[in-house]
Order: sequence, then C-alpha cells, then structure tokens
Amino acid sequence: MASVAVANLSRHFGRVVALDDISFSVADGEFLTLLGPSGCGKSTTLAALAGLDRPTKGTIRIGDRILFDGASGVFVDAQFRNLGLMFQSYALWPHMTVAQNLDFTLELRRIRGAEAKRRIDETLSLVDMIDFADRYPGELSGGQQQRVALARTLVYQPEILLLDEPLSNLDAKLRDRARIWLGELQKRTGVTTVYVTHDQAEALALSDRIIVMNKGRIAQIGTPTEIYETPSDVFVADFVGASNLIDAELALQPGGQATARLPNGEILRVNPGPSGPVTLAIRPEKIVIGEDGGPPDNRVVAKVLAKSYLGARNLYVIGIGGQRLRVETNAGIDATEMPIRLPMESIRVYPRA
Amino acid sequence: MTGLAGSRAADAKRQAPVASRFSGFAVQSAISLVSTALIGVALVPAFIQAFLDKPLYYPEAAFTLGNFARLFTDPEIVRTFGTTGLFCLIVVSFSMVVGTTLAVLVGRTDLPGRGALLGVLLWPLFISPQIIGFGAILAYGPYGLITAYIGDAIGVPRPWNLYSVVGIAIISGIAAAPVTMLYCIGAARQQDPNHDAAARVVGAGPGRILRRINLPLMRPALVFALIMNIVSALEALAIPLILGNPVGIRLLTTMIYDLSFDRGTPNYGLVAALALMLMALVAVLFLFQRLVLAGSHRFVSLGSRAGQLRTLPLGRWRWPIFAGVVVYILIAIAALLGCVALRAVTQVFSPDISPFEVLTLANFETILSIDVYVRSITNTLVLAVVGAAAGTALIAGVALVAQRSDYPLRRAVDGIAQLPRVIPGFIVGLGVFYASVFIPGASVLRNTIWLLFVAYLIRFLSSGYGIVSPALLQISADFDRAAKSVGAGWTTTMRRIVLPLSKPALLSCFILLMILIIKEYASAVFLMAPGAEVMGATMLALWLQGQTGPVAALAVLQVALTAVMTVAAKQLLGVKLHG
Ligand SMILES: Nc1ncnc2c1ncn2[C@@H]1O[C@H](COP(=O)(O)OP(=O)(O)O)[C@@H](O)[C@H]1O
Ligand SMILES: [Mg+2]
Repeated sequence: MASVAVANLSRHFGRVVALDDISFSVADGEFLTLLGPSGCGKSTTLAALAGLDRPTKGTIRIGDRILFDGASGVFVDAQFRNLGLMFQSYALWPHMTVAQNLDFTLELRRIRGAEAKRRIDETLSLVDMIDFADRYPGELSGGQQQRVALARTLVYQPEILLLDEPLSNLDAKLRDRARIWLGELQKRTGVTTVYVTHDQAEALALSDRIIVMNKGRIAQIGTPTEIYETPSDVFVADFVGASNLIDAELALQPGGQATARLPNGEILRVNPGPSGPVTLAIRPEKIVIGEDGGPPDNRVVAKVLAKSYLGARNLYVIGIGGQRLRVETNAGIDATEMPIRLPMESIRVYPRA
Repeated sequence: MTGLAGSRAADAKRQAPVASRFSGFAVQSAISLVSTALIGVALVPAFIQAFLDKPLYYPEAAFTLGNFARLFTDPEIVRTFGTTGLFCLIVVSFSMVVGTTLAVLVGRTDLPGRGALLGVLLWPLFISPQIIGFGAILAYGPYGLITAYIGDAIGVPRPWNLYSVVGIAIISGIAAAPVTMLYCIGAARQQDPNHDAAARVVGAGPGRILRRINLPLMRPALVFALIMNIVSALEALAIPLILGNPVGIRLLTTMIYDLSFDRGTPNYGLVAALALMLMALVAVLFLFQRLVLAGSHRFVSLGSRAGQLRTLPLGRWRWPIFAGVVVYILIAIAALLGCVALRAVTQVFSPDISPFEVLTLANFETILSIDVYVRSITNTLVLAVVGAAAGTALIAGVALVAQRSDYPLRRAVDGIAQLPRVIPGFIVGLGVFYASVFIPGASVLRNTIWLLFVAYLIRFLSSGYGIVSPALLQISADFDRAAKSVGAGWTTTMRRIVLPLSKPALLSCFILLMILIIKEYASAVFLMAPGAEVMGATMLALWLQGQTGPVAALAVLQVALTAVMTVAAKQLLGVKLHG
C-alpha cells in the first residue's frame, strides 16, 4: 500500500480544459473521495491516476514511484502501475467465469497453482461470492457483479484502489447496503482508496476526506464534517447538502456586527463578511420553524408555497422576501403562513462577484 | 485479511513484468506493414505501368504520358466512355429504384411473408454475376427459353433484344439490386421507433411518415448505396463481357479485358491508364459522398431503441404488391437460376426441344473428370478455406489495430482497410500480376494459386473489415481498459479478451470470405494460368469458348456450395451474414 501525491495536474482535450492545475495527496490507507457534478473532471483524474489517460502536465507519484511527470516526459502505462481500478460498468469479462476473471489477473503476475487458488477463494469469500465462482458474469445480478468486480481489483493486492462511481448502477435500496458493505471492506483491507462519485451522501458516509471538484478545479478539500459544516464557497454549499441561496447586500455595523439586506428590504443578522453584494447560504434543516425559545433576531413570517411528504420528514417550499427557500422539518404544518427563524450561526456568507 | 496483507511485500517483486512502454507496438507495426504492403502491391505497379511506354519488366521502358493521351484521343475508347455512361445510368437507376422499393416493402410494411421474401431477394448477393449473365442468355437471349415461349404466345419472334446496352444494363441491375436492398434495409429497420411514434402523436398517417420521416432518415444509406452501385456498375465485367462482347458492345472494363487478352502483345500501359482512370472516377465519387454526408450526424438515430417500429399497413394493396414481388422474383431470379440448372442437366438446350427429353448427367461427369474443371474446383475449395482463414486473421489484426490500439497510425490503417472497396476487382488482379512481374522473386508464385491468394486477401479486406469493425465497436472499451489496469499488455488483452469476445463476428467474416472467394472471378481473370484455375474464371473463359453445358454444371456446383455454406453457417453456427 502506498500514498499518492498529485501536483499541478492538468488535462486538456483540444480546447476543453478537463483538469486545471489540481494538486492533492492521499495518505497511506486513507479513503479519499472525489465528489462533483457530472463533467467536472472526476473520471479524468481517476484515469490519470490509473495510467489509462496521459495528462497534459503535472506529476503523479504513488509511494516512491514517479508514474507521471509532464516536464521530463515520464509516463508509466496502466499495465505497469499495479493499481486496482473498478469501472462504473464493472467491465467483467463476459466470456470468463467469476473465478477466471480473478485468475487472469494472477496469471499476469505469474501466480499460479495452489497460491492462485488460495487467493481467489480468500478474496471471493471476502466479498461473499465464493458460491458463485463458476458462474459467468451474465448470470449474476447487478449487486453480485459489483462484488465480483471489486474482488477482481483486490485479488492481486494492488497498491491503490480506484473506484469510479461503483454504486451508481445499483438500485436505491441495494446502493445503501452496498455502501455500508464497501466502507467496512475498505476498513478491513486498509487499502488506500480513491473513490469517485457525484452522490454527496455516499461521499459523506464513506470518506476520510473529500475533494469537491468544480469545472476541472478543486473547490474544497476537507473531512466530511468540514465540507458539510463549513463549505468554502457557494458552489460547495449548494452541491453538498443543497443549501438555500439568498442574494443580499451586506453592511458592517459599528461594533463588529453585520447585517444583510434582502431585495425586499428585510434585514437579517449575519456573521461578518466583506460588505457589498453577498450570497447567503442556509441548509434546509437548519431553518427553525415556529417558536423555539432562541434569540429574537432573524424572525420572519414566511408563506408556505408548497409541501411534499418525504416519509420521515416534510419538505416545505416557503417564500420570504420574494425568494423561495426549502425547509425540512418533522413537524406537519397546515397553515398558509408560518413564523420561521434563520439562526445567525447557520447562515454562511459568501461574497458575490 | 492477514493472509492477504502478509504476501503483499512478496508481490511487489512479482508485479506485472515491465516491458516496453509501447505494449504491442511491434505486433501493431507488423499488421500495419502487411496491410499497407498488400494494398501497395495492388496499386503501385499499376500506377507505374500507366506512365511507361512498354511493359514495366522491360528494361528500356521509358516515362510517357502517351497512355493517358490515347485515352482521350482514340475514337474507339472515347466511344466506350459514352456507352459506359449510359450503361451505368440504367444499372444504377434500376438497382436504386428496385432495391429501395423492395427494402421498404420488406423492412417496414406488413407485406405477407416478408421474412422469406427477403431471403430470396438477397440470393443474388451470394451468386456470381456471371451466373446471372448465363441465366439471362439461356432465358432471355435470342434463343432463350422464355424469349421463345413469349414470342410464340404473342406471335412476335424475339420480342426483345437482350444483347443491347439496355438489356445488359437491366441484367446487371438485377444483380446489383440486392446490394441496394442490403444497405437500405438496415437503415429502414434501425430507425428510432420514437421518430415514428412522435410523428404518429402529431397526427401523421403512415404514408406521410414514410415520405417525410423514414425516407429522409434513410438518406445516408441511400447516398451510400448510390455510390456503391455506381462503383459496382463501373467495375462490372462478367455480364457485359458475356452479353456485350459477342455483339461488339464495349464498356471500359471489357475493353481493358480485351486489350490485355485479345491482341497479340497486350498494351499494359493503356490498360493501366484506363484502370487508373476508373479508380480516379471512383475516388471522386467517394469524395462526393463525404461532402454530401458531411452533416450526417443529423441522421443518426439518437436515444433509446425501446418500443417497436410499427409496420406500415399496405391496406388493400397488400396482396397485389405481394403478387408483384413474387413476379419479380420469378422473372429476375427464379427464371435465371432455373435455366442455368436446366442447362446443367441437359444435353442440348433449345426452345425447340423439351428439356425433359434430353436429361443427362454428362455435364457433371465432364466437370468431375476433365482436369481443368477438377483443378478449378479443388483450387477454389483450397483457396476458399485457406484464403478465408488467412483473410480473417489479417482482418482481425487490422481491425484491432485500427479500433483497439493507440498505434500512432491507426487512422491510416483504418483507411487502408477501407481502400479495396474502391478498387475494382480486376484491377486488383492486374496489380498483383504486375507485382509478380515487378517484385524480384515474386515470379515463383506465378502460375500458382498463391498469387490468387494474395489477390483475394487484398480484394476482400474491406468486405470482412465491414463485418468485424462494427462488431468490435459493440464491445465496450472498458473490457480492454480493465485488462490493462490489471496489468495486461495490448497483445495479451487482444488475444485473451477482445478476440474471444468477437468470435461470432470472426466466424461471420470467415464464412463471408469463403462465399466471396468461391464466387469471385474479377480478380482471377488476369491471374489464371494452367494449374492455377479457379471456378469463377474458368466458367467465364469456357463460356466465351461456347462450352455452356459444363459451365452450367460448374455454376450449379458453385451455387450449391454457397447455399450449403450459408445454410450451415446460419443453422449450425448462428452466423448472420447480413441484416
Ligand atoms: N476524450 C475526451 N475528449 C474530449 N473531452 C473529454 C474527453 N474525456 C472527457 N472530456 C471532457 O472532460 C470533462 C471532464 O470529464 P469527466 O472526467 O469524464 O467528468 P466526470 O467523470 O466528472 O463526470 C468533460 O467536460 C468532458 O466532456
Ligand atoms: Mg465520470
């Protein structure tokens, strides 16, 4: 196992800049997630790590090996990197049985005979697929294929495990189970893992650290808590946890306090920030409904515009100051108007260009 | 997991072997080189010959433009251009109209028995055009069976003249129509059903859907079919030769044939110049196709294929149209093949004698006892098996380099694989013949079937590539990437992953090549020599000498071989050769 260090990595496809000067590192045994919307460059980053795609510039090191260095022209092909890459499509070779899929990777490493058999059995047991060793991939369900695909990347004990949206082909219920299972498996094997997803719930649940990407750049690197609680910009606030975004004008008051004026004139107390046009972000579950005995600031009466029942919770769309906000709460409200509070400490302030 | 973790250190040393960074580069280069050399063999000597005043094996041969000058000054040649133009016009119009109509009828409407009809209508694809030519003479020639019957019935002896440009062109059109059908039926069927559904939702009737949605969406296929028809009309040799030569109707191709055989010293320079000109014409056509189809993404059917293409109801025209199609089959396919078959089992063939009084197996005895015939049969079979196997291997290699590698020249390799499609068959034969003269040491291959073998490899490269290359595109590139990521090199990945997955396509390719080789004559006519006879060329040569009985027997044998192979391929191997 090994650590990963990526520095100043860029990838251009003609005029399209898929990756723009990104740098990050992954510690030995860490579970790191690349999170971002479709097209932000996650797969391109993973392909660069895997050696399937040659970046335009930058360096990639794994352990003490330099695998890519744009300046000196070093590029080690995927074939020689000894990494494990799991595809979104699983890419199980359909003409080989489950065991043969695993065995092929060992054959390439000249691991044969009893040792090969032991490894295959061990790995298939690890993913609970030992009973399916002689099945063909076409005879397996999606969830089973996913396990086999993972087993195939683990059986030769790669230095790094790279997973590209491994759960996206599973249905919702299976996906939750597979996510828990995958997390436990990574803890047990302790293999350094780079995980790609566009699903923030997966990222938050599984990762030691998350890299949020936006348009080929890194928007934020941090632990799940940091990313969720202190998003570094509007994009991250919106993408992770779907914050409500409110345009406002910030004014610093004497005594170090700050107020934000909404377009309709409503004034909210907020944490200090740069004065001028700002975007306020507040998460749907942080908006307090009704009287909660908190401070008297930032209380408004909101119109209830729409309501949808999510089972465990209710989602309301409310209107304040001509802007629509989403609110999540356990309470059921039938009124057309309700008093709400936007707690100052839950409002994050970002300068607006 | 201690077991897994423990052996990890040992693994580091046992990693995938570190070889060249360009995995498979040597193999890829070899494949590219072989395919380039083959195409070069077909084209380069012919090209040089066109600019020489003497055969290129003469040391004193000198550069000249005289061959080209003669092309445009010799009144006989200039007259040929006119005839060829008229001929092409009729062939192409016939093939396009008949082919498209039949494709739409069989592919999109509720015509009764359309599956079976399609099979029969495509038969001529698997039959050598010369057999269609023989059949035409036996059925519709001046002394043809049907000519006589119809003549008697309406009281006009010889109501038509087969030996005319129009007659020759219609018979060639019959041979070409299945090609149009094949290109169009795919396009007619592969359309996104949602286009149909969308049109129906907005209230369009079936006829309007056909006119405004289906036919326009078929435009790329129609343009492609048009070009392929022009190419095949330009390169048609057998039918014009059999039907036209006896009455002095000359096309570019038959003139090239005559120039290289009939006169005392063949004028190779003129032949090569003519051949080059023919190819230039073809190249212009393909350029034109590129331009016309420049925006063809507009025609790509996008989105899900869910839902059924609704067949267009023919209504009360259903049975009359069915009858029309059956009549076409009887006139254009059954009559021709029937007469060839009858000729094969009769002593003499004449409208005045009932064929059933002169039934005989003598023709078959002849072809199974006379050396030339036997040799041409065995040579054909050997070439079919060996050529198809080698051809499939070559095509697989070329397709893998072109579609599945990062070989720097892979685009060029793809282009090379498409090139033989535009080289008329007899030019391939000529080229290989020139090369055998030109390349030191190659003359040992002369008068053996191995020159034919080389010619067939070149000639059918595109045909097989046309099957294998799209099939490769269906195999997800993730399979290769997965193999690469676990440490497999290019060669290993191809051998262990991609080739096994393309087995059905390779089988189809093998069978198709066998069929094509069995029916081939165009590239063989210039390479045939005593000892190196093949069925196609033998039939042509002997027919011209008037040996119609044995030729008909050979033709029956050829058709039977092809039919057995097609059926076996379908039934035993589940191979699809079209559609
Ligand atoms: N081979 C390619 N050629 C051109 N553009 C590409 C290619 N691969 C990816 N891109 C572009 O690079 C960007 C990032 O793509 P990708 O890494 O696949 O995104 P993600 O995996 O985050 O959805 C996209 O804008 C995509 O269109
Ligand atoms: Mg992706």
